[in-house]
Amino acid sequence: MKQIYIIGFRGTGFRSEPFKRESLLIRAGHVGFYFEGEDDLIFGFHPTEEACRVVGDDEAVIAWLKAHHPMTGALYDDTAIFHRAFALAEDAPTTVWQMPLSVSDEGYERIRQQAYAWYDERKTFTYAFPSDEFAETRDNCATFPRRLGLSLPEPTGNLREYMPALQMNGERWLAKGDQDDTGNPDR
Amino acid sequence: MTQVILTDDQLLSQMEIKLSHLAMRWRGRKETLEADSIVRHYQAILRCMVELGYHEELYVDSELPDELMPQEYLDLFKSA
Repeated sequence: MKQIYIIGFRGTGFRSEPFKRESLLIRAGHVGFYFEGEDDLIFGFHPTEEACRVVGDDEAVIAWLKAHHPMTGALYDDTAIFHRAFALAEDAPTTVWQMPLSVSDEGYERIRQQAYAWYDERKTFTYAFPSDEFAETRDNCATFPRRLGLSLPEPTGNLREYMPALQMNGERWLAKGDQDDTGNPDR
Repeated sequence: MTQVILTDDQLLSQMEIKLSHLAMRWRGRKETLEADSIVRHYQAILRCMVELGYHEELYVDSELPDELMPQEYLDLFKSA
């Protein structure tokens, strides 16, 4: 058996002044996943740069998504985003949580190959905020791992319920270089 | 019959969750006749939360578009 980790954090929000210069994903909150022993590449699903450019600045993108307009999304290397959230967590509600999922060696390889293939070819999917309508064809960052057959801590992607479920079923994520010999945060 | 008494924090937490459900519901039905009633329900709960002392920012996907958010909530984040 091997582990695949779902990883996520609550955003700083869009209304508080101290964090207005942070990136959209830091302010919105984000969920991703990575493979055992490979946390130097944390995948995350979010709208493409091209799709964002068409809509406007970060505030315009969030307004667009709140109004339930879909956007084109893809898998990205979001490792730096999670490290930034970890670094901010002393002053912001961005504690990063992770939840391990055990999969067979065969399943691990299949899921890993699929994720890297989607990432390498920049395959696009429909991104949208969660709603209670039938939504098999659209995802947010939190529900995207279902496309790889991974179990979610909460099925709808509603972050108000997803994040506590991730925390309850998981553990605090410690960024490499940010822990001492005991595994505790070295800060 | 057991009576459950919620603290303000527990009550506000439950109300936050209710708002997140209503936001999801609104997004799924914003083109329907039900949308207006969802917005009124949402606004009433959020106004009540502010009255009870809630002063946090909601999760981003728990919010409706700004023009549908109650002014009492938006005022919480106005710079002094």
